Amino acid sequence: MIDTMQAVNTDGVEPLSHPLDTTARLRSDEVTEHPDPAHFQSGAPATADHYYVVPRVVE
Amino acid sequence: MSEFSSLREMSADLAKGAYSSVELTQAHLERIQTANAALNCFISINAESALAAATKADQQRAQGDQRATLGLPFAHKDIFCTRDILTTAGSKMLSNFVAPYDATVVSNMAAAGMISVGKTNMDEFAMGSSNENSFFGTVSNPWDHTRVPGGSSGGSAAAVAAGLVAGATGTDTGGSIRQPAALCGITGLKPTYGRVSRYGMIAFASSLDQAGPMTRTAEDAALMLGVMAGFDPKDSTSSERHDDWLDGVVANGIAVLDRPLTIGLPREYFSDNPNFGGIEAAKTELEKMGHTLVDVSLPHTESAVPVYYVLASAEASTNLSRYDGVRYGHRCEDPQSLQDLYERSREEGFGAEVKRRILTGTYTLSVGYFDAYYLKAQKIRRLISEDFQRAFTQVDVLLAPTSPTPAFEKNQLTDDHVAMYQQDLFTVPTSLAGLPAMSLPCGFSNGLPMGMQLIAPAFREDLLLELAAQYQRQTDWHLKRPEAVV
Repeated sequence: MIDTMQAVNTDGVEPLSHPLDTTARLRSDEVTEHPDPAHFQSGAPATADHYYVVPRVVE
Repeated sequence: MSEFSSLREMSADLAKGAYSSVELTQAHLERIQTANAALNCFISINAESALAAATKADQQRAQGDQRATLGLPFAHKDIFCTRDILTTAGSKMLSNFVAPYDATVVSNMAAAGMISVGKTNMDEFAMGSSNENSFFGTVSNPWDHTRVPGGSSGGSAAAVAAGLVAGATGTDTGGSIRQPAALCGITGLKPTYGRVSRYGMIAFASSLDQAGPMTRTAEDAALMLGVMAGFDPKDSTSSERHDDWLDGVVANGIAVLDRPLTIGLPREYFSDNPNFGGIEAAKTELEKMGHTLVDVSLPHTESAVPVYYVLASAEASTNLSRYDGVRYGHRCEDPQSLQDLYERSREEGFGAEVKRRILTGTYTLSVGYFDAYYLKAQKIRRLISEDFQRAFTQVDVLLAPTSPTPAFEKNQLTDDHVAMYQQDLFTVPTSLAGLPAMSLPCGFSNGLPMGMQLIAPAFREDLLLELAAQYQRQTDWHLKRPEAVV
């Protein structure tokens, strides 16, 4: 199915990545929120001291 | 109150004190509790939070609050993050996930005083056209319980069609609002990309995803859109614009269409399909209403489905890499190493269709295939978008079928992925172009509802709603109900 795309002539056509052909808006690099780590991590499988715990990766 | 009252009717009843929001919400909850066993359209029913919100709405009304939306029950698709309430996206991966924050759509609806009674079933991560990809089981179509409701917003569509709620939120990446709306005989609106904030809406394909209303009438779709839409600084693709009609639509309803339109019929969408009797009759009806129909061509339509599956899968494979079993969501039992944790958590947490799309997307983004697939698809996407721009120099809106078939049998297409993807033939081109489109009931085929689709230039949902409201004043397809739902 996907290979049918190759039949379309796209010579000189620019790729379209944003449907309305605009770029994403940027914002200034300022702190806007003060998240509560305990609340954000309440659904984590395993945490300790605000870190996420995974199996040991360094012996 | 009737189970098929519209949001506008309930709003008027609440205003004159015919019943309270608590009474209305209780009636909704009772009906959902009774019907959900057969339909499976809800993943969670949130009685406690709904009744608390309804109590608050009644208090606000007693203090003089007269907003049209105050105290109206509705349902959210289970793809919108809700603080302290389960959000699953239809996946085992998120079957234990409680979001720490509300999506902007959720906070907008709550701020308008609307009451979410529960969260509706959906294809896993919104990937599907039948709702058969949900970890929480298939939803039944209220018109025939042996058939699918469409997807991915199948739970929302079935709940609205069955009269469990008058409105529900949906999301549409390649047709996930419009196709289930058509298959369940309701009204569904996919707004322009950027019209409704994606903040807190679990991502599938970020350059395509867009939330919108699913209702039984165009008027109710407008009411919900008025609440859902708006600029959001938290979504970098949210559109910063002001439309007077949108600002006034909750208070005033849809404006009366006061001029004849030129409606384009894209020839690539019409064929000798025996299911298209309804849309043929709709053409005649629209002409009787004074509009002019003209043939147009959208020559790259045929490429839209492969382009969509390349782009949507590529974006999905990237978006879904966040589900790693580390920070939230499903984690496998007793992981032996970090690699084992990643592999088994993802192996166990994702269903077959989601894995298929992650694999497709990873492949088309890989070195050596990127140009031939991903970049090629992005180029054809531009050609598809230009097809629409050319058509809209000649016509105001386009009319097309929403889906090639009415609701199909459960399990009928589950092993034929290409046939399932072809369900989206008429809906993906508009998604790729980011345009607003709306599906309306327009008749039946073999006793099952069929939908017609109206498509407008970017940010012209007003045209869609005005034409849809005019059509619904002249016809009664949107008033047809399935028999004996509960």
